[in-house]
Formats: sequence, C-alpha cells, structure tokens
Amino acid sequence: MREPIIPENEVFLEMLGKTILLVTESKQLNILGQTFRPIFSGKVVEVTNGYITLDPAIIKMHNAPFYKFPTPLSFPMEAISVFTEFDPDRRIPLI
Amino acid sequence: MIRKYHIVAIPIRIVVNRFGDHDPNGMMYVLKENEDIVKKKVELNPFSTVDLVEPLVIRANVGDTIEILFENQLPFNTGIHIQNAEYDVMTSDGAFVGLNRNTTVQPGKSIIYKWSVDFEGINFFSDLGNPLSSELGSNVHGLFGALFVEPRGSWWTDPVTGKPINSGVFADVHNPLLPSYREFGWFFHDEMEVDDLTGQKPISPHTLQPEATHLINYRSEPMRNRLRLIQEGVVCPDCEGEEVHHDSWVFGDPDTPILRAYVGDPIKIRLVHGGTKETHSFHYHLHQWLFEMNDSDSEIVDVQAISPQNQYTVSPAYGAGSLQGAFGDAIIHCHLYPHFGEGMWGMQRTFNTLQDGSMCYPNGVQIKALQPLPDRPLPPKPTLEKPGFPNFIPGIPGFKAPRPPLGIIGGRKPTEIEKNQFAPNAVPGAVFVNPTTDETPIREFHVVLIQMPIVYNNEGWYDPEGRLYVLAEDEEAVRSGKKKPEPLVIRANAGEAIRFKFTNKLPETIGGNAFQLVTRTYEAGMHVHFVKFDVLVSDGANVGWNYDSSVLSGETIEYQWFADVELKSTFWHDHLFANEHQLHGVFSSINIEPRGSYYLNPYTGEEMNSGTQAMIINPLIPDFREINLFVHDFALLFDKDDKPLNPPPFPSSPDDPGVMAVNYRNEPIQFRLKEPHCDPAYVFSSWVHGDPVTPLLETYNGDPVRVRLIQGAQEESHSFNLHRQRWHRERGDLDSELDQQQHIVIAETFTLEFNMEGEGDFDMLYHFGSVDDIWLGNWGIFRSFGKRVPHLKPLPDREQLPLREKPLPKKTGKVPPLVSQSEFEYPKNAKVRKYDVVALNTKIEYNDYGDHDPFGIVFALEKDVDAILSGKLNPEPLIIRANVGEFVEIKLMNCLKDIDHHNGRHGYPEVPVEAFFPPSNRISMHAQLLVYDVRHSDGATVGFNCDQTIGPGECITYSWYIDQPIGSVNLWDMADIRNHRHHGAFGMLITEPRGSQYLNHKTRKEVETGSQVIISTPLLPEFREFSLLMHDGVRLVDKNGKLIIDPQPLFVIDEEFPDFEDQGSRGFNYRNERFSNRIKKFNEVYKVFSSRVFGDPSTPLFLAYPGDPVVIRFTFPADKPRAHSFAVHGHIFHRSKDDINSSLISVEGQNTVGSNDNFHLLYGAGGLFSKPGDYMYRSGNIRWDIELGLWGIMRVLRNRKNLLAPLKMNKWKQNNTLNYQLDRKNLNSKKFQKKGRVKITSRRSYKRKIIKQNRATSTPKHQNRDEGVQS
Amino acid sequence: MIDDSLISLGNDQPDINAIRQSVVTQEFEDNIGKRAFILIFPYPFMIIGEIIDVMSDYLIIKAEVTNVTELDGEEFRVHIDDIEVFYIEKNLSRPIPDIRNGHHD
Repeated sequence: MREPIIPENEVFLEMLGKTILLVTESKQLNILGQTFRPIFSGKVVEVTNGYITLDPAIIKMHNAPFYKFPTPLSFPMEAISVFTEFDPDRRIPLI
Repeated sequence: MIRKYHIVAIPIRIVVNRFGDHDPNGMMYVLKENEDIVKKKVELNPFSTVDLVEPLVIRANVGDTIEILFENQLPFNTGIHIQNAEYDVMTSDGAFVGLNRNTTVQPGKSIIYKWSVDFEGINFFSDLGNPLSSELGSNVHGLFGALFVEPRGSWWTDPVTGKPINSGVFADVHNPLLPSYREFGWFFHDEMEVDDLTGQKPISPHTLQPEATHLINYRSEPMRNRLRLIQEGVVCPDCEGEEVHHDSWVFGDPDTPILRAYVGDPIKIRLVHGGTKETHSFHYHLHQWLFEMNDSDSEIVDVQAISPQNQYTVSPAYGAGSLQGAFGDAIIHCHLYPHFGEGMWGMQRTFNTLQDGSMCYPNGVQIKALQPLPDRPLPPKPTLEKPGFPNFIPGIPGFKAPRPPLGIIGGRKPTEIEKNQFAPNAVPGAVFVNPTTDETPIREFHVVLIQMPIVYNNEGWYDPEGRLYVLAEDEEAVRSGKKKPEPLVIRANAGEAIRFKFTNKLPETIGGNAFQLVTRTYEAGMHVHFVKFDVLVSDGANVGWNYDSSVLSGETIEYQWFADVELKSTFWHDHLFANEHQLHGVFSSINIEPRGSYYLNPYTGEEMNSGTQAMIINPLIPDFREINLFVHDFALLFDKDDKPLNPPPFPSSPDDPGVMAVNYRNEPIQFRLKEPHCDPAYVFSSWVHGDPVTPLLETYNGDPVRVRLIQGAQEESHSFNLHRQRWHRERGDLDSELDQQQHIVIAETFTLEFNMEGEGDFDMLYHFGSVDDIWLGNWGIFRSFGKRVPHLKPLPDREQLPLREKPLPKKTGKVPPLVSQSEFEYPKNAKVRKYDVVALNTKIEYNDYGDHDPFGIVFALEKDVDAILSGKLNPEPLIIRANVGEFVEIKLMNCLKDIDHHNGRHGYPEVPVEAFFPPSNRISMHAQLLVYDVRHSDGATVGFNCDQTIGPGECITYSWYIDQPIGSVNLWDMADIRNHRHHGAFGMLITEPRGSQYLNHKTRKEVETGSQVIISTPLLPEFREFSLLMHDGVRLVDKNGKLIIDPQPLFVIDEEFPDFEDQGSRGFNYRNERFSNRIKKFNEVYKVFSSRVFGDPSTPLFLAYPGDPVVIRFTFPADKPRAHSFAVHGHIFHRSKDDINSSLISVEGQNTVGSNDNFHLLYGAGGLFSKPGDYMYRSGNIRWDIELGLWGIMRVLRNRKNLLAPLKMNKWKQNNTLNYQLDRKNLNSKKFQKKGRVKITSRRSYKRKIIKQNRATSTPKHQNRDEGVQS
Repeated sequence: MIDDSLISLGNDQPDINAIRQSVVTQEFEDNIGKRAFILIFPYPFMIIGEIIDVMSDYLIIKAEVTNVTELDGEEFRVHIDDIEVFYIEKNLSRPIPDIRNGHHD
C-alpha cells in the first residue's frame, strides 16, 4: 500500500495525470556522452512522498527536443527546481 | 569490443561533378570489400561521379578497440595517422618519426594499426608517408578519412535502405538510450588538382582565366560549369550566373552533398577539414548549434572557422528545421566567397512528407527513399492536395525559382496548392512556418540597398561603387553626406518578431574596371543568420527547390525574423550577388539585445534606430556601451588619383585583390610617417597625426562594454587584438578562457564583453594583428576618460562623474613626451619579479644547415647578451615566467644598431600596396592579457598616451601584474610592426601557479628563461613545461647568403605565385627543419621525419618520462594573416584548459597573430598508456608549413637518462610504467578477481564485511592496481 | 506512517526534505536486486546496474554500464541525495536497455 500523500506534497499531487515541464537542479546531465540541460516533459503517472514519475518521459535535448526516453523516469522531489503544466508538443527555446 | 577494418590506399580517378571535372591522380582510402567495386565502377564511368568514391568513414563506439589492416597500393610509402585516439606510437603512428620504427608502408605491403577510442566524436586520419605540399603529395589528392566514434551501444544503418553499413559518409545512428540521429560526414578539401573534362585546368567562362576548385566529400559544384549552360542557352537564358548558382529549378540538384532529413530529425554533422591550406568558414543556413557540443553554457554559433586537419561536431539545436520546424533547402557552404563560387557548397534538405522512393522532384528525378528515424513520429504521406516540399512550389524546371507568395509587394497570387501548405498564422515573410504568436511584440524596419561612392580615409582611398544597406528614413541623409556611411546596425530585443520591408535600389550592373568585369547584379535580398525564419520565403537567397526570396531593382519584399532568445550580433547580407558586391560593403548586423532594452545615441542621448555605436539601457542589467566592428578585406578601392590599390592579376580574379578596412574605414600606416625622421614608432600616435578615421569607441572608466565583432567580407582570416581589456571567450560561459585576441573569418560574429578597467584618461589600441592588416590600416583606438567630458553622455545607471576641467588633448604634430619614469608603487609585501631585458640585433641560425636571419632582432636577458653576440648562444625567443599574484618589472634596454636589409622599401615578404617605410631604431615591449596601467606599461605609443618606446641606448621599465592563471602570453615590440616583428622581436611570458619554482630540466637548478623547464609547485604535481612560439613571415638567407623565397615547394617549379599572406619562412622558436635540407629525392619523403636517417631536427626537442605531467605553452606572435593548425601526435587535451566540459582534441586550429594557448596533455607524456617514443608536434597545414619545417619532436624516454632529471613525486617507477600497457579490460577484470566481493544479505553484515575487508587490505587502491598488473 | 524521527526537534512540523529523501531511499531499498538507471551531475554521470543494497543515504549499485567504459563492473556507493533522475526496472515490460554488446532491439 502506498503512503497517503502528505499535505506538503499536494503541489505535486495536483499534477497527477497531467503533462508537465520539469527542470531539475544541475547545470547539465549526460547520457553516454550526450549532454543536455535537465529539462523534461511528460505525463505524471506517479506521485509519492519523495519522487514523481513521468511516462512517457521526454528529454528535451537541445538537438532532439522531443526525444522519448525508452523507460519512464522518476525525479526525486528534492532535485526538482521547476515544474509547470505544459503542452508536450510546444516548441520552446532550450539554449 | 574489437572492430576490424581492412583499408586499402588506392590510386583512383576522382570525378567531382557531372561536368567531368576530375582529379586524374586522385587517391583514397577504401575498405577492401569495396575496392574492386570502386575500381570497376570508376573504369566504367570515367566522366561521372561514383557514389563509393568518397572520403572513407568508418565507425566505432566509445570504448572500442579498432584494428586496421592497412594495405598500400600507391607507388610511394603511405600510412594512416589518426588523431584523438589512443595508440602505441611505435606501432600505430602511421608515420616515421624521430627514433620510432617506420609505421608507413611500402608499395604493395601492409601493416596492422591498433587504436582505442574513449569519447564520442571525430577521429580524422590522413597520410603522413607523403606530406609534400605540392601535387606530389598525397593529402591534396584525397588521402584522408575519419573514424566516427558513436555513443556506446550504437549501431548504424543506411539512410536510404535502412540496412546496416560498414562505411560511408552518411549514416543513421541508433542507440537504445539516446535519440537516433542522422550523421553526415562533411569533409572540406582544398588545393586538389582538378582538371576539366578535356584534361585542362578549368577555365571560368566569366573571366576566361583558369580557376581553382574547392570541394566537399570529393565533390564540387563550381559556378563556372553552370554558367556555361546559361551562356549556351541551355537553361534560364535571362539569368546572369551567381543568382542561380544554387538553384535546383534551373540546374537540378548539385553533385555536392545533400543532407536529407525530416522536420525535427536530430542531426550531427561531423565537420572535418581534410584539406591542406585554407582556413574555411562553415556556415549552415537556418540552423545554430553549441560551439562546445557537450557544454550547455556554450556559445551558440552558426558559423565555424576550421583550419586544416581540424574537426568539429555540428549538432543543430532542435534538429532539422530548427525551433520553428522549417522545411525546405538550407544551403551549407564555405562562406569565403571565392571558395563558395568555386564549388564548396551543398545543402540540408528537410522534407515535410514521407519519402519512400515513389515521388519525384519537379524535374522528374526520383526522390530517393529516406528511412524515418525509428524513434520519431512518421511524417505524413504526400497527397495531391499537400504534396510536400518541394512539389507545392509552382516553378518550372530549367527556369529560375519562382518568387515567394505574399511577400512581394505587387507580386503574384498564391496557388491553391501553396495555400494548402500555408501555416495557420501565415504572414508575408513567414508563410509556411511562423514561430510567432499574436502576443509576440513586433518591430518594423524599412531597409534599402543603395550604391554610392564611399571614401575610406583622408588620403582619398575610395570605392566608387560602394554598396550598403541603409534605413529608408536615413537614405537621403546618407546620400547627401549628412550622415557618414557605415555598415547598417539595427537592434531588437529578445522575444520580438522583426518585420522588414526591403527595397532593392541598386543599379543593375557593377564593375568594368581593373578589379571587376562588368557584371549584372540585378536582384538582391537580405539573408540573415541566427534568428528564426521560414527558409522558403525569408532566406534572402535562391537555394535548391526553394523560392527565390530576393527582388529586382525597384521592387520591395517583406521578410520576418523571430529573435527567440538574446543573441550576440547577428550578421546579415545579400546572398544573390555576394561574390560580386559584398566586398563593396553589403553587410550589416541586427543586434538582439536583452529583453526590455532600449538604445540611445552615446553622443546625443536620444533614442536611435540604427548605428554602429549605442548605449544599451536596461532596467535589470547594467547599462552598457556597444560598438560593432566589421572587418573587411578585398575592399576594391582606388586612390585619390584613381589608381587601383592592389589590383588582381586580371579583372574578377579571386586572387586577393584590394585592401582592407573596418566599418568602411582604414588608416594605412604608410601615411603616418612624419618627416624628417619618418619613424614608424609613432604611427599610432594621435599627438603626431591626430586620431585615425577608423571607429573610435569612447567610454568612461568602469563602463561595461560589448564589442560586437563581425567579419563582413570576403576571404581572409583576421585576428582581432585589443590592448589591456579581456573577455571570456564564450560570453555565457564563465568557465571559458580569458581572451584578448580573436581569430575571425567571414560571417563569424563574437561578443567581447568587459568592463573598461583603468585610471585617468587613456587610449588603447585595437588592431587586426597581421602585418598585412595593420599595414593597410585595420587598427583604431578605444578611449576612456576618468572625468566627464562634454561630448560623451554617461551611461544613465553610472554614478555621476566629476566634470573634466582640463581641455581635451589635440594633435600637435610633435613626438609625444617619453612616459615619466617614476618608481612604481607596490602593495606592502608584494613580490616583484624583475627582468633586465635587452633588445639587440643578432644573427639567428634557424637550423643546422645554415639557414639564418642575418638581421634578427631579439629580446634577451641581459646576462645572455655577451654569449649571443659572441656567437656562443644561438638565441631562442625570450621566454620568461612569473607566478600568479606577482608583479613583473621589465627593464628594457635598446641596443639596436639600426640595421636592416633595406633602407625604406622592405620587399619580400611583401605586403599589399608596398610603400616607403624605413625601419625604426626604437623598440618597446607589449604584453597581452596582464594587468597594467595603459598610461605607462602598454609598450605602445597609442593615441594621446605618452611615448612608451625607446631609442638606442635608452631604457624603460614596464610594470605588469599577474592576477590570473592565464598561462602563455605573447610579448612583442610595438615600435615597428612592419620591420621588427618578423625578425624575431617577440617573446613569451608564462603565468605559473602561486609558489612555483622554475627548474632546469636536466639539473633541476632554478632558471630564469628557457623553452623547456620543470615547474615545481607545492600544492600541485610537478610538470614539464614545453613552450612553442609558432611564427611565419620570416626572411631567411641560406648558408651562402642567398635569399630564401618561401614558399617554394620541393621537387616542383613555381607551382603558383603565393599570396601576401603566405610569403615568408616559418619557425618554431626561431628554428625550422625544412624538408629541402633533409631529402633530395621524392622517394625519400617518408623518411623525412626520421632521426635515425637524418638526426634530430633543429626545432625544440622536448624530453619527458612516461606519465610525466606536461603542459605545452603555445603562442603565435608573428606575422602574416594565414591561420595555422597545431597538432600533437598521440595526445589529447581540452580545447579550453579551464573548462572541463570543453572538447578533447589533439589539433587546435585557427592560430594566428596573437593566439595564445595552453595544452595540458591528458594522462601525461605518452598518453593514456604512458608509451615511450617520439611524438611529433607540427602544423596541420600540409601546404606549406610542414615542408617548410614546422615540425618537431616530443621524446618520451623509455629509461632514465642523465640528460633529463625526473620529476619529484612521480610515483610511477619506470618499470611499472612500461608494463602498464596492458589491455584496460584485463586490468579491470583482474582487479575484480582480486577484490572478490561476497554477496551481502543485510545491511549490517555488509558493514561488517567492509570493515573486515579494509583491515585485510590496508594498501591504497592504486597500489593494488600495480600489483595486479605485475602479478 | 511517516517515521517519527523525521519530525524535527523543537517544533512539531515534519521535516519535509527529510521525508522526501527517505521515501526515495526506501524506494531503492525496496527494490534491492533489481536493475536501475540513474543520472547524477557528478562523474560518471550515468549508471545502469543492479541495486545491491542501501546503506543509510547511500545506494550500492553494481554498474553494468556507465558513461565511462573503464568503470563498468564497479560497485559504486552513490549518495542518494545526488540522484536527479532514476528508473528502477520493477516492471520487466519496460526494461532498461542493455548496451554492453552493441545492437539490442
């Protein structure tokens, strides 16, 4: 059984089932040498008291802004800097 | 994973286009499996291009080992030398260097090379068995290729068939964890010997003279062939030539590469310079990318300068079509217009519908299938209503592309099929894609392009056919002379849409003089960089199957640009007749400023719509001053008596005609000699001559400044240098290096941001540093005031300054007073390092064969002067050092004897528009990048500063402060750029870490100077420091006193007359090792680097032990505009020493006057595997540097020798090091066996086990590793 | 229930940061033996491997693959608070691709 979501995390719970834009705190991340600003979008499919999960998880790489990662991705809330409800098809400047 | 490739070097006829232009003596690397097929196909198609004839590209993944069986079928020794990879220099260098074994291959023989690769990117490879510069060499004929390294776990397929491939310049690359991308190899290639169909040198039908050919991937689509079809009436009889050069409606698609993708496809262009000579300007329409692909703070660029053997990955932001998802053809070209015209262009074709092979282009040629990338949405299928690009465009094959719908005032109506394709928010100028919304703020301009005479200086040099963009509202004022002509600079803020009306008011022809034949230039447009636009209708160009988005004389068209983010200055120009008239001034900028900015005239304080100088006011960031500097060559000027200045050999020749300028102004120093002394030491002095006519930036001390640097025209490299002020190489990246110099090619733009540091009133020189540039007047002054002056408005957010009471200085016509030499005041406890330096004339021996400069001018430590003058010491350039936090005092004494080879007319090495210019007997020393007071320690007599040069017998002291770990810094004389610098009047200062000691590499005794020292620092590892000053423009005589005229290639006679920029000999630290002194026969060329055969070269021989930390300090102090690459074999380093996210490279390009760099070799001497052996350092310019002696050796010694003291704290024992060459995978697995971790069941037991294990093995990890290796 | 120890001393407000961190830690601990994909800002940036254990706020992961080939096979102790992105292969229908031997469909 999942823990109930505590009131402090309701700000995330509100996003459950919605698509969001999410940015984490570091300058850049790196998968196999491809670096990117940690900007993601996708649908929130899971909210716990410690992390949220996007599925599909789109990594907004600067050279491939609509790259759908092969697995869902989870984000520790403590590492999230910014999120907002977001149309995943929107094209936004990334660099 | 081990990948094996069998590569063969073969002779092959290379046909470069369907017109039959070809290299009969082509050479290429090819996979053995394709060798017979290629040979057969070429035999069957002697006059057509053959697909498999392309530079060899093989691929591997990060972490792979690559085993190459290399077979040589050429009639001389060849090899494969690879960059960026790890390899054993003894077995896999692909060269025959120093004391190494020969790893080139005789005709008919083979060898095995082994490489391993650790990071994604490009590993260029080429032949060093025959590095001759002429047509006898191998590289000019195509003997190069590349290994592309992909992310781990990748595989690659053919973009047409979807099948796996083993080689090929284009591939789709797939990876389980990363987006699939389209990979396009793009190999620039120059100087190839290309004949026309008949075997003759190709003739331009325009000039009726022979013409060169510039290539991409062994293909070229020069204008000359297409022009002939027009002249013969085969196509488009009413066309002129250049305006349709890239028009597929007229000619069909070119034979040069077409990079095909669907909208949004991720792309990596692997940009490689396989050529030998030129520094090219890669420009990609519509798209931008990060300069450093792996650094998200990196600068956004859309032009990349690239020198020979250099490489860059270009991965455009947002994929094909950029942010706005544009479709259509985006041309990719070398922006150097002569190269562009001579065939160096291709394009990116972005489709918006699925291509399965069933569709045709409008001319009936099949559109080959293009496999959609598997992780991308499927593009829609073409339908009759929406056939997709290019089939909705209503053009007629054989005729010029149609004009765009909506944009042209009074133009045609769109067709129904065009309308079906319109974007929902279509507006004129953004018809098929429009990234703006209803809320986007809009800024409007009406621009006109006009022709009028432009006078460039007070001597009356002028361009009778000056052409420039002006705002319609200013046209009258500019034409009437009320407003001085300057390149148009307009501004907009980030987030705005900029809408233009553009009216073409040019006359329909140009030329008809010594510079240019009469040519029609009847249409024009505005092609812009950086901003987001619809490439079909707002490219301001005529490319591929797009519309021709230009207008005829008298017509007006509308364009829309969207500035999505703040950008630096953004270049725009005409793209229709650029070769003919951009050099007359057709270049401009739109500066995209921070949101919320407005722009004030710095002299009136009023809001302004255009101008090269402005104050940018913003509520959130500090206000700043902005100046745009457009550097310009091929300026086709006449003197006041209508004599052409530096006319070409024949009209319309691309052979470096004309002069140079900054913002349509120049101040040639030949006119700044004052009778009776005519001393070059005062050419920059405003006391003597008044201020130059070139742009003068005025500021108050402490003002923030952004210099927007652009090259507007036309072919040369330039090197911007500024005294005293420094900026970050990439403005948005504070990890990027501090610079004071910037190499620039046409269409590049840079923002140089700094605070105007200094006290009192002072003038600073900016100059484009080559002798040709300065000679022709590419220099000017930045002036800063300590107190408020009446004519210059202060920035609104700065504190009020006290008013200046003294009058401003004025020209007196007299030599300024010598700077007052009071004692310098230093903070208490400051460490001041003092050097007594003497400037003297001396003979410099450049090599052991007697080549020497009898009129050398050197800076030397006073203690070495006697040894130099008595011939005991052959001087090296002065190399001095100081630690961060220290002050440096240079006491300079002038012992020049007033001798030179001439009394006023210098001659070889020549400059354009040669004139009387006697040598100065004064001298000075200027330092880059250090902190000092410009008023007394700049080493230049500039503007209204006092004299900082000294006459014979005089002394001067300069004081500099080392505030930063900058590394190598150029030192040079500023008293006589024309006559002193190329004779050796330069040196290097190196800033070292705090607390460093400088030790002799053999004795470990402290030293004051030297190119090879040990730097010992308490908190850092000791390292070896190797210092190299690369220089050119040298005037040497041989042992018999005969003048050496360089470049003169070996074994051929008078191949071509060298440009001014190439004249003179080359050197590393006043030394060279010319091929001509070592080899006498062609078949000896592979041995030329061998010390076994010829002894060690005269260039510096650097020594190290395996694994020793090594830093190479590199500067380029003199003299010519030609840019050079610098390469080190078998080692890699970060492109920016301070930026760990910068690329790993083994070749640094674009080195020119004022370049300074620091190469911290990764893993130390001998690379990752600490391999002993001889590693060549060299220029990457096969034409002509290497042959003229720009190469040397870094020797990594196997055993301890008396000639080299070991570094302290180097824990590698030599034996261990030699054994430390095993397969890294083995190393890992052995370690794991040793560790033998036990499966843990619970957290507590885990903890216990850890503790237990730690007790059992108390030795540190790296020692375990050693034991593991030894066991 | 939220662990009482996570309620900071001195007031009765739960320490929300500690709660969030503990939930992430628990998620890894609950999935020992499964494969995980993690992204961290520090070197070596990406680790794919089996979750071996969790010790206080450190994840013990046996790397199959990292961005640095030489580190394959290492057993990393990763500070869980440094993990910015992760995925644990709880559901085998959404596997983490294995890239060790080239092409995997």
